[in-house]
Amino acid sequence: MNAAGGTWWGSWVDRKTYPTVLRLVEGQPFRVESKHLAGFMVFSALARVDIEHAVGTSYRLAFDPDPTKIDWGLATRTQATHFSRINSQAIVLPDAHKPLLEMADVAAYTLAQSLVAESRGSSATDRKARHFPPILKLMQMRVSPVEYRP
Amino acid sequence: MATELSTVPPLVLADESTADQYVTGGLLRLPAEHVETAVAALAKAKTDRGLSVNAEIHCRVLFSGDARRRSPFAALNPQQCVELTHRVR
Repeated sequence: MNAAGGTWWGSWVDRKTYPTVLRLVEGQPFRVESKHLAGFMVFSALARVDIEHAVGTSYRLAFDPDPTKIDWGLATRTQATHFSRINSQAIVLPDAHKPLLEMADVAAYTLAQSLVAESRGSSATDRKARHFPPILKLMQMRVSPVEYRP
Repeated sequence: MATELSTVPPLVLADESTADQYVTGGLLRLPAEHVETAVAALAKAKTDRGLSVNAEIHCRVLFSGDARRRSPFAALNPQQCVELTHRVR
Protein backbone atom coordinates (compact mmCIF):
# COMPACT_ATOMS: atom_id res chain seq x y z
CA MET A 1 0.00 0.00 0.00
CA ASN A 2 2.88 2.37 0.70
CA ALA A 3 4.14 1.65 -2.81
CA ALA A 4 0.71 2.60 -4.17
CA GLY A 5 0.88 5.99 -2.49
CA GLY A 6 -1.04 4.87 0.57
CA THR A 7 -0.49 6.50 3.93
CA TRP A 8 -1.40 5.02 7.31
CA TRP A 9 -2.94 6.86 10.22
CA GLY A 10 -3.87 5.78 13.71
CA SER A 11 -5.14 7.02 17.05
CA TRP A 12 -5.25 5.18 20.33
CA VAL A 13 -6.47 5.49 23.88
CA ASP A 14 -5.75 3.57 27.07
CA ARG A 15 -9.11 2.49 28.49
CA LYS A 16 -7.65 2.42 31.98
CA THR A 17 -7.11 6.16 31.88
CA TYR A 18 -10.52 7.06 30.40
CA PRO A 19 -13.75 7.58 32.38
CA THR A 20 -16.13 4.63 32.43
CA VAL A 21 -19.21 6.85 32.59
CA LEU A 22 -19.85 10.12 30.75
CA ARG A 23 -22.89 12.32 30.19
CA LEU A 24 -24.10 13.89 26.95
CA VAL A 25 -24.87 17.61 27.26
CA GLU A 26 -28.24 17.82 29.04
CA GLY A 27 -28.51 14.07 28.65
CA GLN A 28 -28.37 10.95 30.73
CA PRO A 29 -25.13 9.32 31.84
CA PHE A 30 -23.98 6.44 29.69
CA ARG A 31 -21.35 3.79 30.09
CA VAL A 32 -18.23 4.33 28.01
CA GLU A 33 -17.74 1.10 26.11
CA SER A 34 -14.87 0.08 23.89
CA LYS A 35 -16.97 0.72 20.79
CA HIS A 36 -17.64 4.26 21.96
CA LEU A 37 -13.92 4.82 22.28
CA ALA A 38 -13.28 3.14 18.95
CA GLY A 39 -15.51 5.71 17.25
CA PHE A 40 -13.55 8.49 18.91
CA MET A 41 -10.28 6.98 17.78
CA VAL A 42 -11.37 6.79 14.16
CA PHE A 43 -12.60 10.39 14.34
CA SER A 44 -9.29 11.43 15.85
CA ALA A 45 -7.30 9.78 13.09
CA LEU A 46 -9.56 11.33 10.46
CA ALA A 47 -9.01 14.75 12.01
CA ARG A 48 -5.27 14.32 11.68
CA VAL A 49 -5.63 13.39 8.02
CA ASP A 50 -7.64 16.58 7.54
CA ILE A 51 -5.03 18.70 9.29
CA GLU A 52 -1.99 17.28 7.54
CA HIS A 53 -3.51 17.33 4.08
CA ALA A 54 -5.27 20.67 4.63
CA VAL A 55 -8.22 19.55 2.57
CA GLY A 56 -11.02 19.91 5.07
CA THR A 57 -13.30 16.90 4.73
CA SER A 58 -12.41 16.20 1.13
CA TYR A 59 -12.20 12.44 1.19
CA ARG A 60 -14.43 9.43 0.70
CA LEU A 61 -14.78 7.35 3.86
CA ALA A 62 -15.32 3.61 3.84
CA PHE A 63 -15.87 1.73 7.07
CA ASP A 64 -16.61 -1.93 7.62
CA PRO A 65 -20.29 -2.03 8.58
CA ASP A 66 -20.25 -4.95 10.99
CA PRO A 67 -23.89 -5.40 12.10
CA THR A 68 -22.83 -7.17 15.28
CA LYS A 69 -21.45 -3.86 16.55
CA ILE A 70 -24.80 -2.10 16.42
CA ASP A 71 -26.27 -1.19 19.78
CA TRP A 72 -29.93 -0.24 19.52
CA GLY A 73 -30.12 1.66 22.80
CA LEU A 74 -28.88 5.04 23.93
CA ALA A 75 -25.40 4.00 22.99
CA THR A 76 -26.46 4.01 19.35
CA ARG A 77 -25.52 7.66 19.34
CA THR A 78 -22.07 7.01 20.67
CA GLN A 79 -20.85 3.65 19.46
CA ALA A 80 -18.22 3.11 16.87
CA THR A 81 -20.00 2.38 13.65
CA HIS A 82 -22.81 4.93 13.93
CA PHE A 83 -20.64 7.77 12.71
CA SER A 84 -19.89 5.99 9.49
CA ARG A 85 -23.59 5.94 8.64
CA ILE A 86 -24.10 9.62 9.37
CA ASN A 87 -20.72 10.91 8.19
CA SER A 88 -21.30 13.04 5.12
CA GLN A 89 -18.17 11.61 3.51
CA ALA A 90 -19.24 7.99 3.97
CA ILE A 91 -19.57 5.91 0.83
CA VAL A 92 -20.45 2.35 -0.01
CA LEU A 93 -17.49 0.80 -1.75
CA PRO A 94 -18.03 -0.94 -5.06
CA ASP A 95 -17.57 -4.69 -4.69
CA ALA A 96 -14.27 -4.59 -6.57
CA HIS A 97 -12.79 -2.26 -3.96
CA LYS A 98 -14.17 -3.92 -0.82
CA PRO A 99 -11.02 -5.99 -0.23
CA LEU A 100 -9.29 -2.71 0.63
CA LEU A 101 -11.28 -2.65 3.87
CA GLU A 102 -9.01 -5.50 4.95
CA MET A 103 -6.18 -2.97 4.98
CA ALA A 104 -8.01 -0.85 7.52
CA ASP A 105 -8.32 -3.97 9.67
CA VAL A 106 -4.56 -4.45 9.34
CA ALA A 107 -3.96 -0.82 10.31
CA ALA A 108 -6.05 -0.87 13.48
CA TYR A 109 -4.86 -4.33 14.56
CA THR A 110 -1.18 -3.56 13.92
CA LEU A 111 -1.39 -0.42 16.04
CA ALA A 112 -3.21 -2.22 18.88
CA GLN A 113 -0.77 -5.12 18.95
CA SER A 114 2.20 -2.75 18.76
CA LEU A 115 0.94 -0.94 21.84
CA VAL A 116 0.56 -4.26 23.64
CA ALA A 117 4.08 -5.24 22.66
CA GLU A 118 5.50 -1.96 23.89
CA SER A 119 3.63 -2.17 27.17
CA ARG A 120 4.89 -5.67 27.84
CA GLY A 121 8.47 -4.89 26.91
CA SER A 122 10.53 -7.91 25.99
CA SER A 123 8.23 -10.41 27.65
CA ALA A 124 8.96 -13.83 26.26
CA THR A 125 5.33 -14.81 26.68
CA ASP A 126 4.18 -12.26 24.15
CA ARG A 127 4.87 -14.20 21.00
CA LYS A 128 2.20 -12.60 18.84
CA ALA A 129 2.38 -8.90 19.63
CA ARG A 130 6.15 -8.68 19.25
CA HIS A 131 5.82 -9.06 15.46
CA PHE A 132 3.88 -5.84 15.04
CA PRO A 133 6.11 -2.90 16.04
CA PRO A 134 8.41 -3.53 13.05
CA ILE A 135 5.39 -3.65 10.73
CA LEU A 136 4.06 -0.41 12.20
CA LYS A 137 7.44 1.19 11.59
CA LEU A 138 7.51 0.03 7.98
CA MET A 139 4.00 1.39 7.49
CA GLN A 140 5.29 4.78 8.67
CA MET A 141 1.94 5.17 10.40
CA ARG A 142 1.19 8.62 11.81
CA VAL A 143 0.07 7.73 15.31
CA SER A 144 -1.76 10.04 17.71
CA PRO A 145 -2.44 9.20 21.36
CA VAL A 146 -5.70 10.47 22.83
CA GLU A 147 -6.22 11.41 26.48
CA TYR A 148 -9.34 12.41 28.39
CA ARG A 149 -9.34 16.01 29.55
CA PRO A 150 -12.41 17.14 31.48
CA MET B 1 -8.25 11.56 -18.08
CA ALA B 2 -5.62 12.63 -15.59
CA THR B 3 -7.53 15.82 -14.87
CA GLU B 4 -10.71 13.90 -14.23
CA LEU B 5 -8.99 11.50 -11.83
CA SER B 6 -7.30 14.27 -9.91
CA THR B 7 -10.67 15.76 -8.98
CA VAL B 8 -11.78 12.59 -7.20
CA PRO B 9 -11.17 12.84 -3.45
CA PRO B 10 -8.86 10.30 -1.86
CA LEU B 11 -10.30 7.13 -0.39
CA VAL B 12 -9.98 6.66 3.36
CA LEU B 13 -10.58 3.20 4.76
CA ALA B 14 -11.25 2.97 8.49
CA ASP B 15 -11.48 0.28 11.14
CA GLU B 16 -10.98 -0.18 14.86
CA SER B 17 -9.37 -2.70 17.14
CA THR B 18 -9.02 -3.48 20.82
CA ALA B 19 -6.19 -5.32 22.57
CA ASP B 20 -5.68 -5.39 26.31
CA GLN B 21 -6.45 -1.89 27.55
CA TYR B 22 -5.83 -0.25 24.18
CA VAL B 23 -8.51 0.88 21.74
CA THR B 24 -7.32 1.99 18.33
CA GLY B 25 -8.61 3.51 15.14
CA GLY B 26 -6.66 2.77 11.99
CA LEU B 27 -6.88 4.37 8.56
CA LEU B 28 -5.41 3.85 5.14
CA ARG B 29 -5.58 6.89 2.87
CA LEU B 30 -5.24 6.13 -0.80
CA PRO B 31 -5.08 8.69 -3.62
CA ALA B 32 -8.00 8.00 -5.94
CA GLU B 33 -5.74 7.34 -8.91
CA HIS B 34 -3.97 4.55 -7.02
CA VAL B 35 -6.98 2.61 -5.78
CA GLU B 36 -6.92 0.10 -8.61
CA THR B 37 -3.18 -0.43 -8.12
CA ALA B 38 -3.76 -1.10 -4.43
CA VAL B 39 -6.54 -3.60 -5.16
CA ALA B 40 -4.27 -5.41 -7.59
CA ALA B 41 -1.36 -5.45 -5.14
CA LEU B 42 -3.52 -6.94 -2.41
CA ALA B 43 -4.83 -9.60 -4.77
CA LYS B 44 -1.30 -10.49 -5.87
CA ALA B 45 -0.09 -10.75 -2.28
CA LYS B 46 -2.78 -13.38 -1.75
CA THR B 47 -2.40 -15.34 -4.96
CA ASP B 48 1.39 -15.45 -4.59
CA ARG B 49 0.74 -17.48 -1.45
CA GLY B 50 -1.80 -19.76 -3.04
CA LEU B 51 -4.74 -17.94 -1.50
CA SER B 52 -7.95 -16.96 -3.21
CA VAL B 53 -8.38 -13.26 -3.90
CA ASN B 54 -11.66 -13.67 -2.02
CA ALA B 55 -9.92 -14.79 1.18
CA GLU B 56 -10.64 -11.89 3.52
CA ILE B 57 -7.85 -10.80 5.81
CA HIS B 58 -9.18 -10.38 9.32
CA CYS B 59 -6.24 -10.11 11.66
CA ARG B 60 -8.12 -11.59 14.61
CA VAL B 61 -8.54 -14.71 12.52
CA LEU B 62 -5.14 -14.62 10.85
CA PHE B 63 -3.29 -14.38 14.15
CA SER B 64 -5.42 -16.77 16.18
CA GLY B 65 -4.32 -20.34 15.61
CA ASP B 66 -7.68 -22.05 16.06
CA ALA B 67 -9.59 -19.50 14.00
CA ARG B 68 -6.95 -19.51 11.27
CA ARG B 69 -7.11 -23.29 10.93
CA ARG B 70 -10.81 -22.96 10.10
CA SER B 71 -10.21 -20.15 7.61
CA PRO B 72 -8.91 -19.78 4.04
CA PHE B 73 -5.52 -19.09 5.65
CA ALA B 74 -5.28 -22.55 7.22
CA ALA B 75 -2.24 -23.43 5.13
CA LEU B 76 -0.21 -20.51 6.49
CA ASN B 77 1.90 -20.83 9.60
CA PRO B 78 2.25 -17.86 12.00
CA GLN B 79 5.46 -16.65 10.37
CA GLN B 80 3.83 -16.72 6.95
CA CYS B 81 0.95 -14.67 8.34
CA VAL B 82 3.42 -12.08 9.57
CA GLU B 83 5.08 -12.07 6.15
CA LEU B 84 1.71 -11.60 4.47
CA THR B 85 1.05 -8.58 6.68
CA HIS B 86 4.49 -7.21 5.81
CA ARG B 87 3.72 -7.69 2.13
CA VAL B 88 0.42 -5.86 2.07
CA ARG B 89 1.49 -2.84 4.09
